[in-house]
Amino acid sequence: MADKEDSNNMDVNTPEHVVTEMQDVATSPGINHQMDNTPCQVDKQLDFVTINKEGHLLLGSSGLTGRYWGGSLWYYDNPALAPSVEKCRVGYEAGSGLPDGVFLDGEKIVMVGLDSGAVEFLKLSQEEESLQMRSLCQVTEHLDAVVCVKVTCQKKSALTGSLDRSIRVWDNETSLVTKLLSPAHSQQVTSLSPHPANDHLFLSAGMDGNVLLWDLRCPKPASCVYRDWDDKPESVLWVGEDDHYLVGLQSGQVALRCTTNLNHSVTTCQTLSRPIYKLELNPTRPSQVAVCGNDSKVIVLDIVNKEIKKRYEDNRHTDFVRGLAWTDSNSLVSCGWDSSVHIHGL
Amino acid sequence: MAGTRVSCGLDYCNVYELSNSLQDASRAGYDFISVPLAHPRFTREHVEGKAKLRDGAFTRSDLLLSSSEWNSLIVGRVTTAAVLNLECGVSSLRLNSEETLAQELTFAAHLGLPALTIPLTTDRCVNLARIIHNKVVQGVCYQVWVRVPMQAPEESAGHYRSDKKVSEDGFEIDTWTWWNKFHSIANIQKKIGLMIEVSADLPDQSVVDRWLGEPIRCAVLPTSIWLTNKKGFPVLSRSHQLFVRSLNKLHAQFIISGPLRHQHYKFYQQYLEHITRQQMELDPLTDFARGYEDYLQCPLQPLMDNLESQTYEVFEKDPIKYEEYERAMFLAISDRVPEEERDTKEIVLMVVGAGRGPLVRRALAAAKRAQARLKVYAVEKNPNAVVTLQAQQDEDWGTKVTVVSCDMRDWDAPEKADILVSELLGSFGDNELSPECLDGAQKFLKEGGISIPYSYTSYLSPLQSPKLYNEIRNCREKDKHFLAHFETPYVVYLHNKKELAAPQPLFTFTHPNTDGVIDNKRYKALQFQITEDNVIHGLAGYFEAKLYKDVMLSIKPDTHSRGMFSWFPILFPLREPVPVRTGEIMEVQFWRSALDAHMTPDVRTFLNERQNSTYMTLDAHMTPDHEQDSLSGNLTDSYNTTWIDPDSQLCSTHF
Repeated sequence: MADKEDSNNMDVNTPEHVVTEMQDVATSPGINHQMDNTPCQVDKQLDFVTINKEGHLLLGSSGLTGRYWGGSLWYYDNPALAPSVEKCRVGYEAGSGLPDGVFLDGEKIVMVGLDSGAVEFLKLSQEEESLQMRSLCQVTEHLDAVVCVKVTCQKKSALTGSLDRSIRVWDNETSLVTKLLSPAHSQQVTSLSPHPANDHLFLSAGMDGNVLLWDLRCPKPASCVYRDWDDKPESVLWVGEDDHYLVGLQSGQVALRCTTNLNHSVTTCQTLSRPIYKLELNPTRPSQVAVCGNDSKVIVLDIVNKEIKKRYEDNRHTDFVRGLAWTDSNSLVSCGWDSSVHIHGL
Repeated sequence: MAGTRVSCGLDYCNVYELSNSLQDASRAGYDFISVPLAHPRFTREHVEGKAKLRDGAFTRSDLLLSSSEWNSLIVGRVTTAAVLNLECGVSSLRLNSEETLAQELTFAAHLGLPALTIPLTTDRCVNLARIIHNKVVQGVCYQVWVRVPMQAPEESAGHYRSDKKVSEDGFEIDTWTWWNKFHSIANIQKKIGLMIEVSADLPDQSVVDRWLGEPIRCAVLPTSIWLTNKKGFPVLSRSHQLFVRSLNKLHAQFIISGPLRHQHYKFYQQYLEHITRQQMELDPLTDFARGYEDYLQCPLQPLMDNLESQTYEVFEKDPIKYEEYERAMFLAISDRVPEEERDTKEIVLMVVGAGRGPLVRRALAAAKRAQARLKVYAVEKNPNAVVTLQAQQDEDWGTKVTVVSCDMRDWDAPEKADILVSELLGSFGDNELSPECLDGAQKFLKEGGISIPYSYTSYLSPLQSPKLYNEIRNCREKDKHFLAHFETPYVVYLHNKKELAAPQPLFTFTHPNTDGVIDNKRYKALQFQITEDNVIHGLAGYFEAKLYKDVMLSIKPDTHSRGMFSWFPILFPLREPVPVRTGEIMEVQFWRSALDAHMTPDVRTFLNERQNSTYMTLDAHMTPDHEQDSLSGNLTDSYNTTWIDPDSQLCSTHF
């Protein structure tokens, strides 16, 4: 018996065993590493959602209050599965909060802005069995949090706006900044809206109370289309292909304005009682705009004949709603700082 | 303190984990870090809605660092968005911002932070200034650093605008006025300091100087303003280097902000260390004045009286003053005795106010150099100093020196002097024992005798210095009238200030005075051209004295006798800061009146502001200057009146 045991012990220590063990050790971290890419929990504050062509959802979450002020990205096949850790296809841990992000190509390439001031480009790719999200590059150009990331209509370039008062224009091919507008506003930039048809035009809103219309073809590209220090615009959105746009104000009003008439708004609507954070256009029904703010409500506005009407109101969230995305013409996804994602059928 | 190493911090726009960031910064050589008090994007709701009931902490726990780390290594940053919305027209939002700010300020006090920073990016700052003022007067542990950009962001943002004209130099919007407004509304509290954000291009020197007159606690050097040298290291342009050195003289701390643009953050800190170490000055005045910057020397400090013997010792060490006296005496003696009479003629030299004998020693040395025979009378009133004089006479001087223990006004001189030497000048020239005492002593002087000094002129210039204004305000004594400390001139090594115009000559006195009836009353009105928007907090006084021929002593900045530290300038404070604007002319009327047997001079200053403003009245005690304590006993009785002239129309034509 003792001999047998001894021989067993010997077996364990045979070189062959060691080799196989080492192989195991060498291969398993690789697998673990891939597994580890997905963080173990979704951060508390859900800051943005966006939908790609396939109807898949990308969720950005940030930790704004705890020991770690980090962030993570989550990818789901179906918006209804968010924000579950188990049901996600893939997750990615970022070293900083994630205020905003977009699919650059509408499909696989993701661009996110970070609280650290960095802009990160990521790629979703099918590797063997599993879907992977890998960082392509991280570019730290902004001096402060990048709070707004938008793609222009031709999808060739992207815009980022930051608390550092600047706006940067990025080339989607090279991931390089092609135009630096710094400072674009004299205070923090809060919102950007690329023109729906013209790649050179976009609107920006800032805490200096201005909405600026930018035409990147001009040597002096900016002109002021709205100014109010007392009731500052916090979000801005083109509606339709003509020169109309919406401004979300600190008072909770949404104003329909026209870039050719600077004197007064076409119409206004008291949408929320708190500052408007985001305006999201329904891509298939451009008359519909989802609105959220420093409030728990999700509102959908209908803009018909230069009138703004409330079409939908939902109050399921229990904290600020931060992210809005349309999945199809009748369905909207929202996320917020209450760690929840809700789907709204209109 | 200048001379010690520069204190440098690192600014993080966002921190993933606090103690790691602190360690990284510390490893790179930084002394502290600046971090947000709460996440800059984490908007809190204090007014209405479901979010008001939000669970959980609003920021990180205090347990993440030890209290000694919080107390010394962390500078907290207040949420910018909350500060901006304090001036918002939407009242619920404004209220929410006030609550948010209050929450952060309270938490900063809880953590025991040494300082917190508040951005000031617009001149709309009334509510902010009010809140900060109220908080600070309650007593807080932290200093408030108000971060003001040297260049308004509107200026650079304006370059992109087709609907806006941009200024030529990019400094048309004067951000100093933002700070000045904030600081005035916050009642120039001492706890509130300036944190200046250095721009890539520096404005005109006069604007830079005006900043340097403010209480700068900290300067932000964004990584974007740094240049790269041939070896790839970060360096600053020459003008930035000069500015950094001036800031270091004010004991300002530095903060590096922005993303890394070179190999490592440590290189920024190392470079600052390098250029400030080079600065170590060899100037004895700067060396001597270290620790006395902007320190008010009050005339009635008993401390001063106790230090008397030390005071003599300190001022006898002045490397310049006695050298110049000796040079003057040498020239005077040489002129007085023709070469052929050197062996026969004896010169009589009197030192009135001899103290412990520095001038006597210099006189003997001068005579030796001139190979002349000299007889010295050393007249000294302070019996303690006479002990020193008598001991020296006993050991060294012998019969060449006669020590007279007597007040010069009571002394009956046995013979008349060829040369009368005195050091009776105050920081303002005529504010001490001169000219009255010298007029009294000139009866000892032979016809055609020489007085050293023979002439002196006082100079005056308007001064901006919130720091000094605060120092004076805090001088208040319980048993005195509440404005008494504003009606006293101070002797002070002016440091954190800006002189708003070049000093102008005020009164000149010459000795011996040959007027039939000696009258030392004076009146003069000076006009100063104001070249930028400023605030006047006081008037700086200097003097220039001519000892003999062209031998001079001066404390006027542009002619200052290099290295001489016996006199610091005099400061006449104003009760209230007076704002002035570019292009205005400021008039100062100055009276000097000799009133009684003790000849106490009295100085009155009027500062005429615009038509609708009130007169500034200032009545001054005369300050006994430290080195002449022995003679000033009878003269320190000061004359004090309040005189408010209702006629403010007088100078309105200037505006």
